[in-house]
Amino acid sequence: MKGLSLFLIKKAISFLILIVILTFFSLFLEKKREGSFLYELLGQRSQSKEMEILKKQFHDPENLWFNFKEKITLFFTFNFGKTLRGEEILPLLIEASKITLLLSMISLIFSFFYGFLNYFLGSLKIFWHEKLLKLNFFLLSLPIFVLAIFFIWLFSLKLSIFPPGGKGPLWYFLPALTLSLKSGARLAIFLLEYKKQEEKKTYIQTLHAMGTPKNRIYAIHLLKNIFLPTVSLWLIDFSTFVAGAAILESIFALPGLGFLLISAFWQYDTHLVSAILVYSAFLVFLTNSLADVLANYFKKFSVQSHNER
Amino acid sequence: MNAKISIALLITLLISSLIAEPKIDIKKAFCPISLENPLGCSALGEDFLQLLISASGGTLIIALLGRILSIFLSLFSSITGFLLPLFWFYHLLAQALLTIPVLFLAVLLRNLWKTHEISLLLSLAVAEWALSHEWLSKRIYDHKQKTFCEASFSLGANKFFLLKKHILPYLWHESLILFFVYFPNSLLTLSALEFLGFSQNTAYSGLGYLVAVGKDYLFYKPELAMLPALFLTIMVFLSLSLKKKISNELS
Repeated sequence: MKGLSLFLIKKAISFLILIVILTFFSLFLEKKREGSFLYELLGQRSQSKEMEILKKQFHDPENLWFNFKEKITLFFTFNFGKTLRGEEILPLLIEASKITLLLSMISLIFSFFYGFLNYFLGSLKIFWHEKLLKLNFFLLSLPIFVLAIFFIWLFSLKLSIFPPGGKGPLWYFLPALTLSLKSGARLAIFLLEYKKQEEKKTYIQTLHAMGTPKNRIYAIHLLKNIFLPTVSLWLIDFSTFVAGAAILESIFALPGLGFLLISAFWQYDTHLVSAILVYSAFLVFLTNSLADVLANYFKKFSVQSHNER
Repeated sequence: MNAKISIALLITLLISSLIAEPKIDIKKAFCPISLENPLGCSALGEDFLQLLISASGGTLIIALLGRILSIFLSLFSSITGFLLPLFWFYHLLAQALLTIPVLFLAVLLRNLWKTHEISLLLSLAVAEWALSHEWLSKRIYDHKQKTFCEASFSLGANKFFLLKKHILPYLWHESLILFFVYFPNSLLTLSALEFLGFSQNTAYSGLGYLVAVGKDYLFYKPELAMLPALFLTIMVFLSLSLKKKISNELS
């Protein structure tokens, strides 16, 4: 109990430090950028007379420290403020993150199945192991947007099975398939390499020598040891899911977090940009902490099993 | 794939990109495959093969320079963290930056400099700094714990001497591994930035940008998107093969 409370306190302090650094960093970068929200809003009509009128009406203090204090106070009261166009940021973030999280969850499930399918296929025949490794390395070399465009061409234009974008249940299939193949390839390579290392260990060779069926060795003994590191890797990979989802949301026109960040960036909406950064950092921080807990549990579990033997 | 073949192919691509000069000729827009234009023409009438080679070179150069700059920045931060009491400052900053996906960070840093090419280079370098810094700092810490370093320290050597004689030669080797291990990631991040339109107003057209432009013609000229995608995949595949071979050999 004492260990758990200490762990939670440490995590809470690191998260607070993280929020402070990220807020300052994003505000600093936004201040350094050329152009401003006012130029973006006025567009072709940004003549000096109209710019002066807007500048008087729009009170945006130039002082970075003032902006930083205001922002930090807002974040610690769970109030992300409003966008430059007057919308409340928190409901906007929640709506956008539902889409990104749903996409990430569906992709995680697909990638899980893809990864373990590779593991079982690689266990059936030795020569499939090398071929599957090469296939997954090739998939890993494909940039995610290349895969997305290929699937749009194949499934939407040529075969007309799935729609190329929008918001609806069927419209998640193509982006989820794209994201899951990339992360599934990483998971498959990890599982195949881990299996190869574990096969050299004494306990596996003993099982082979005792005549244990190969299927039993791979499906029960090896799988038990591979499962927890796989889940840790999965969780650590979460930030890649968020980044990949950002690109896919632009291609498939899904109004998720990544799409919101890119449009906020082009519109010079500082408030929204720093809010999205803090929010996505929170999600990644949460999954990394979960991965830490699992990794510690796995260490204790394997030490305990070793001591029992 | 053989590491020498991968390096040779990448260098050939780099050198050919310096020679290739695609010229705009709107009358030849979407021209068919011929001896003069082996892969046809683009929407602006440029020879597509020359355009692809030039774009590949552009992406490769920026990714290479971005990677090298990132390693120099992380070497600087890990060494100053070792010599001066700045370790915790860099560590906290790196941990904070590691929670942001690299692509988001690169997007944020995009307009840091007035010159767009340098801005793109800086954004790539700084976005990857956190991971490289943590890697090198951990290696310095592990190396410092080794017996010969501890013996040297207890015999009266100061931190600067330890760095010069024992740690720097080792760090050079580690930086080389770091370069090859994360080079494919640099290529992928850069191509994603180009695809999302963040390489606008730069002097070069990257492969990601060509894919983004080509996808507008996906219905009746899919090769305008697929061919740059193929070139990009080949480049990343070559660098992944290099990564595997060289990091195994250097380890």
